[in-house]
Amino acid sequence: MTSRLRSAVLALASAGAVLCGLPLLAPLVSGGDWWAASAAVLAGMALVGAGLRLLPRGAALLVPPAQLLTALVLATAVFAPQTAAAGLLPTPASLDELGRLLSEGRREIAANPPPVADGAAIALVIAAGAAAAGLVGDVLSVTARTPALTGVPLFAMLLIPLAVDDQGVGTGAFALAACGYLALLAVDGWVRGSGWAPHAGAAASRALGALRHGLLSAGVAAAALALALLVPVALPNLASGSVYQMAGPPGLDRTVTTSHPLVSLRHDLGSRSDAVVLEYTTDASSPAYLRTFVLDAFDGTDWTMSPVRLDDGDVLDGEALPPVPGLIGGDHERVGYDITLMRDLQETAFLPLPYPTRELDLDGEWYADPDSLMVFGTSVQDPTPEYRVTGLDLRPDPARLTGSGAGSPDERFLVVPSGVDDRVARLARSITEDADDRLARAVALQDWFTGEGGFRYDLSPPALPEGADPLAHFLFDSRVGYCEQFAASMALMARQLGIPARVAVGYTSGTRTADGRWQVRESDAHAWPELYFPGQGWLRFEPTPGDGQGTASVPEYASGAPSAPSEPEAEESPSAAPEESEAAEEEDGAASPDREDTAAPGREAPDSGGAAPGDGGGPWVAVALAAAAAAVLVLLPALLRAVRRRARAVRAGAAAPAAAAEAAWAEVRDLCLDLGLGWSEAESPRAAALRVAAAAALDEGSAEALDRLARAEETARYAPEPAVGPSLPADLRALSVALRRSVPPAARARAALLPRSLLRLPARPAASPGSPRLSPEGG
Amino acid sequence: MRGHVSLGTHHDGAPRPGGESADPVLGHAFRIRKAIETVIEGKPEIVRMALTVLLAEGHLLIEDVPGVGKTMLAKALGRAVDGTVQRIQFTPDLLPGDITGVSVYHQERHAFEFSPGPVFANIVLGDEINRASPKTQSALLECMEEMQVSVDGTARPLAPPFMVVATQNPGDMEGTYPLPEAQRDRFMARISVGYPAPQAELDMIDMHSAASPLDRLAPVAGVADVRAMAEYVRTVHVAPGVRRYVVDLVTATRTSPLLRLGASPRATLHLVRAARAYAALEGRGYVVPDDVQALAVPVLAHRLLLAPEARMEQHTAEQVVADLVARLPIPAPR
Repeated sequence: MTSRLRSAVLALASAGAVLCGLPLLAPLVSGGDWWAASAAVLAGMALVGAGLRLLPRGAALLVPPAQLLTALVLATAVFAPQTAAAGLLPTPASLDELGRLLSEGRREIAANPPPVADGAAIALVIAAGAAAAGLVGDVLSVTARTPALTGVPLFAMLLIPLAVDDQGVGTGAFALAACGYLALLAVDGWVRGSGWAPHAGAAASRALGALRHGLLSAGVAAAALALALLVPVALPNLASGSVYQMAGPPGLDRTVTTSHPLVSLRHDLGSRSDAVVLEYTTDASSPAYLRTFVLDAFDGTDWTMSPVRLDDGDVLDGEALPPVPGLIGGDHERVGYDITLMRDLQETAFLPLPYPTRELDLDGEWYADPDSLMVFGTSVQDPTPEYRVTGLDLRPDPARLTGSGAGSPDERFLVVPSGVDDRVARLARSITEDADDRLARAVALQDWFTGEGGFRYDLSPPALPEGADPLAHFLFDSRVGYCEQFAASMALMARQLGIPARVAVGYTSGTRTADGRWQVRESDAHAWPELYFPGQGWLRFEPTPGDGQGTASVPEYASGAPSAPSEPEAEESPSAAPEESEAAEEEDGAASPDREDTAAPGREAPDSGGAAPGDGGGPWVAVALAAAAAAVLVLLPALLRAVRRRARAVRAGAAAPAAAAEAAWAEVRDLCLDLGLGWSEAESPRAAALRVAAAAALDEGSAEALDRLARAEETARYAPEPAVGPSLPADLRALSVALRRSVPPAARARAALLPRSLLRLPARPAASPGSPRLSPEGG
Repeated sequence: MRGHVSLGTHHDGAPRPGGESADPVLGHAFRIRKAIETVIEGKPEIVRMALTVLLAEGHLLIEDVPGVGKTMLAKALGRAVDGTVQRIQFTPDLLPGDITGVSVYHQERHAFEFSPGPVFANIVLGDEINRASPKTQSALLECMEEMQVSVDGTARPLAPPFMVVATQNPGDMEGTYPLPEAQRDRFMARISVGYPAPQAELDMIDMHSAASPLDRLAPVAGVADVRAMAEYVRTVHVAPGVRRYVVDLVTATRTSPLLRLGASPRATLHLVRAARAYAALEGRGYVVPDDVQALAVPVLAHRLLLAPEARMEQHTAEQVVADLVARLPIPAPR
């Protein structure tokens, strides 16, 4: 087999591997024929790549542009034939059409949680991605002769569904992709093996050798794959947790990027549907809201959930939940709820629960977040569970909430990013300038939204003008919105006033039916702020105007006039609270682990901006880290090679003669391999030196240096006493420079970035060991 | 000839300045080669191989068409080392006694007296050995192996250096008895002289027009020198890796599917000895794989039998050995 034919076969195998990876993307698209276009583009590119490689040398450089052109022509023929010349040749109009389809596809992907519906735009986006993967795979497999690295684009195809979708990829798709990759490696091994027997005759032994070579490389890769699959199973902690790095908040814009349960709920927040979400029975006359989850981080536009810390300790092993954060003294009425979910939970699900939940009776593996008391499961078996909950009916005495003293469970509940419009903080201060304690301020804010602010509730707020800050637009211009906007705005303004705040999302209490049951419908989906009060913990407020959300209710402590601060009990409370706190902690050491006992009153100006460095910088740090990691990954082979080169240079200069010669000669070998000058295990040092000097057209000085290196190695290997000159390191340096100069810059760059010597497979002796040994002669 | 490597210094044959010169080989060898090359124009490889076999105490088989200088080579070699040269023209009616000598009844002394045959010489040139009957051929071959002549129950040793240079016309010529493979195995190496290059042939015309260059060839070394050189060759260092390499190579001929008969253990010994001589001729006190590679075809190929399929596919034993050499990894670093 000629080397050209080998390259062509390898090109086809590489395209085949990418093709086998296509089903990995299936979870992203619902149904349809999206894969046909991608397959056609990949097949066309493969044929062009293989065909060009059959041509004489040099045509390989044309492969990437030719493949790009092929992909473009095929995409034009499939997606924009009516605007193309002769139905397939790209014209400006067809390019415009493709561009339009691409951006439409991007919008569709942005606007819909996966799986997105199939369509021409989506198919084009995927085909473009597949073409890119095919191109990279071809360059890596054939041009750079590193087929193993084709796993990188394949890995990317595997990561996309894992990153945007909790469902993961199907076993079949993964197996197919893995098989394609292994097949590529096997073909590579076969190609390498068949390169061995130069003579046409040894067909049988050549085929055997190729087969063995192919099986060996594929076997190693298969073992690695099996390990990669088994290790996470053996270490269960690695399997969970990462899933919760999700976003997708009920912010003020419509971007949705995940299939987090939040997304569907958020959809409900604007819903007028009457579909029943859940039913429950309870003894309480005014049941609590059913909270599903809590958004605790504000990034300037959206409220999002911080990654949930998932520790083993958070597994609900009994019924009891962690202690209620910030709540001191435990004389609260317990209220039971029997909840029946009517709508299917996803595999990863948060439970709607009254806050604060104390006990939960439900089978399965559930976790509770100690900060928020959110309860969620990662492998939900029963999609419509029934469960019994015991909550606390918090009826805080308004007199005890007046303390303006701080005390926060965590700094993060006060963070306000730096990008927020200055007017918002001024507005918050002006609204609350008459209020002199925390509760009064909170109530003033709430009342401003529901009353004097003049807000109007509308599930379909007017479109946001281009480029406007959604928050500022809502607060200062339109003043039209629904629960999301009200909750988000009040929570932010509370933070600016120094009150720890967060946004809760879930359902209102719903409506009571004639038979005494409570029904919660989709239209009862709601968002509301929770504010923190020392000694009481988190309390909900209701800034959404009452005429809007039909079943919303203002809690007792937040309704009516603020209590008079001059009442005696109220005066006592600030000092009484810490005493009680200590007493409570003596009784129950585990109480409120997050509370700051040392927090000083008024420790922070409310409008200080709260530009917490860890929050606003998050994405950039991540991007920078990812870029650095990518750079390290790209440069890793070069680094490994440099380390090896350095070690050999040291040995060549300092080690014992034989070891020095060996190190220097090994470096010469790797240098030749890297630069594509070739190396044969059957070549003796001096034969290799003669060949390399001729192949690289070395000048006399460099050729002599090479000769000295070869002779040193020869004596080290075969002479009774190695004869190694002192010029070894200098010779090695001079030779490196000369050899590098002898190849074109592209080959030099490839040698630096993708040194082939790192992947060198040791050749095996052709003869079987164990043959009768020659008895040594005298001498 | 794949895998054949031209070595750095041997084209001119000059001793490397400052080399390992404590051996008796380099200087003599250089002079002997120069002397022979005045007779055999443009064939330094052939001269070198002949000298290698002489120093390795082996025997040489020269196989080629008539008239390319086979006999001339043998004669030149013998004259250059000032040894006795005997020429035996093999014909179908040649008898074993014509080679070894016979016991003749001495009338005056009433006893049998041994009359030594032409084999009692330093260089024995067996011309066209394949024209004689197998019986006569084996008489010579026994002398080669035993280094002695047994006639009438008395063993008479042959004095070293003793080297048989047999020439053989290729087997497809008329009226020949090709040597069986068991007999070929006794020759250390087989070479072909080949036709000279056009320029060398031109020079040859000039040279032979006057007197025979062989007549002008004066001895440049003595028989004792050759013995000393052979003695030194035995001491040339063969690293364990190189020994292993030789064994691997010989083993590869035995396992190759293209060969019906691989090389014998005697071939292994011959290859090592030849490699030692080859290294010594370069002034090197140790054998490198290049020596083995250069000698693999001449030393091994004539002992091998191709498998029928390989013969059908027009392979030659030389090709097969060259392929094995090209594929066999050289000994790895110690």
